Amino acid sequence: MLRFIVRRLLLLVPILLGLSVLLFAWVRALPGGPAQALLGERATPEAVAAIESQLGLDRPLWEQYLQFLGRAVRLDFGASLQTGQPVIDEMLRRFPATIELAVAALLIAVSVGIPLGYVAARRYGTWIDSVAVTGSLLGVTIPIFFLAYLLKYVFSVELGWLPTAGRADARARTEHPTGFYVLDGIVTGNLDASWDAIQHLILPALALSSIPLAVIVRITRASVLNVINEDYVRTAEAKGLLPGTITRRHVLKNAMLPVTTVIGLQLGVLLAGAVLTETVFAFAGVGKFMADAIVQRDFPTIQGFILVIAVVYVVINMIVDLVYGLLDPRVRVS
Amino acid sequence: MSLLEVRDLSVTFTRSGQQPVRAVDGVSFDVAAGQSVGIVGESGSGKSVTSLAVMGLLPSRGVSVGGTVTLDGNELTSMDQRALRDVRGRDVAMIFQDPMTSLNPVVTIGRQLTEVLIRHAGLAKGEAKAEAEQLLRRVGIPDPVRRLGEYPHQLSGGMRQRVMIAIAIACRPKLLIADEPTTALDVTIQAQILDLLRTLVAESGCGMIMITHDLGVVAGLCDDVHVMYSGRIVESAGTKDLFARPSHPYTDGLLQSIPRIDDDDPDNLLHTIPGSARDTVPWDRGCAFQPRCERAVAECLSGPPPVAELGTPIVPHPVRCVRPVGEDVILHEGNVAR
Repeated sequence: MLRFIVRRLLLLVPILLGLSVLLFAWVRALPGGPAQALLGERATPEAVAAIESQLGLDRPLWEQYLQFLGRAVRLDFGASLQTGQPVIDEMLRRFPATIELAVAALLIAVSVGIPLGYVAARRYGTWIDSVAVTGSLLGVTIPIFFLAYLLKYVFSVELGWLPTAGRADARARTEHPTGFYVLDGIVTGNLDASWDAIQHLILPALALSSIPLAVIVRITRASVLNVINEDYVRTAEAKGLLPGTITRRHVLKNAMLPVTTVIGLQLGVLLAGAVLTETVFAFAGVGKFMADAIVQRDFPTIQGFILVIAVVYVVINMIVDLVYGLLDPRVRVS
Repeated sequence: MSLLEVRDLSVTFTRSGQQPVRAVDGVSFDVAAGQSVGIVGESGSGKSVTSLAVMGLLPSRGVSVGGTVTLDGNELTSMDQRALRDVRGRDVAMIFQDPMTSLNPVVTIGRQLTEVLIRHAGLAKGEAKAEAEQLLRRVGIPDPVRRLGEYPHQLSGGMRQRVMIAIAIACRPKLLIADEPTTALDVTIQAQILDLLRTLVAESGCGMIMITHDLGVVAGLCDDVHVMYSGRIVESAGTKDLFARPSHPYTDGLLQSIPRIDDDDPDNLLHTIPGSARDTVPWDRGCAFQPRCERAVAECLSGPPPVAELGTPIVPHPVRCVRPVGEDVILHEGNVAR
């Protein structure tokens, strides 16, 4: 088990090295170089030269790369060009918001997607199945930013049920020891603040959950359809077991294996989707910060964000593999 | 009264936009307690569907079942699923063909064994575990305590089939249905599994239906045999009688197709039945075997073939054929009952 984790973490090294080369090359490939990109098209050559020497861009490429790498290893991605603060501090400050949003979205996707996929498979070919299949197709194809605006328009503007933007009511004076607003309310005994944070979470989480939800419905449905035709399910029927036991122990336990993999992969989609969702809902997470960074050509932030997301992604996949081992004795690592 | 009475069982698969398929067509047979009955036929003959119909395991959608299946006085085909679930696993149990796929890969052997004991015998977890250990020992699995905690992939095919058998006999069923239990196993393991089944039936006094395409399995294990072709029973007899006097040309062809170990003549090619099971005639037009039959005559296609009784009232040997092997006259409705 420990060896497995260590091996997976060691795999991170080549992945991150490759990624660092790509990122480094990408910034240098910007039209006119990073300094020009930063200052805009009408920058004077003097200003460009000044920025270049300030950022060390006038030194040889390999030297620049080694410097970049050396700093990146220490999580030093430089200062954000938007705020002047270290990129890593800016990200750490915003990460709780994005994690909160991603977890909420995943919670919706899993708690709705798995039952819906299961029912669709069991009612294969009926109208319930058709609704689930068509709905999930819609969920995959509808652009997140469009869905986000649609939800906002219907539930905030027209119906007025939920807040339009932000993470919490601006008038609320609450403390944030953890940065996770829902948790903060519970920790500080301010349940109203938690409820307020949840209300702010619902619409962004719904918008963000659309793709993972649709994918989970489809995979669950396909997987359950496969499993209910397996011989061991017939064996379970032949034993005269109760339907609940057959569903839990013999169908779902097997059908959940591919679903687990997909849930892990969807976490990556959630992080990418957060960039759009957080922008629409002015949700102050890393996604919004990233979107702003792109507009502001804040390339230290973009580099840092991409590297951190890559690490998160690999770690999530490792956790999924570990969970998989718990669920399926055949792949259990000895 | 027999333990199991199957009367005029028919199973029809219907699919929208397609011709309905009658997989089992008016099948009747009995199984007495302590008796082993073989149902023999090739793929598609309806033998497995027959066994699934007896178990009530056919899907409800697109399948219609006719006739009656009476187990120990209880009619099963009209029973609702709730009542059937109480019968399955307790009064009638089934062993499936492929032990590689018939056990749940992510559940321990112990759990798969104890769940049926907990469900039907009302045992507590601890009691069920002790009983499961006894059962594994009974089907010849060494070190049962360790095996209970293992998963199917950690066991060999033969061991897995022994586990399947242990699950089937767990609640001391009155009837055991074995659907090609040795087909997926090595030859040496096959003999062990058949020995085990024979011993278990003799010890427990339960009835057994052995579904197989292998006449060798029948010869070693069964008291009575029913030969199925294209959904119908074409010949029924005691095992010895059937091997001594195969009367339906299909049965005769099957027996001749078994390679003989004492045949030294290299020029003797192995006998085969020409054609395939798909070359068939609907039973109401004539004999379904007619297109492949070496003894076919014009009368074979003049309506459903009558059942000729070639045995005696005490030792029956009915054959569904107008020109059985060894008979020179053409049998028809008028002269079959002799």
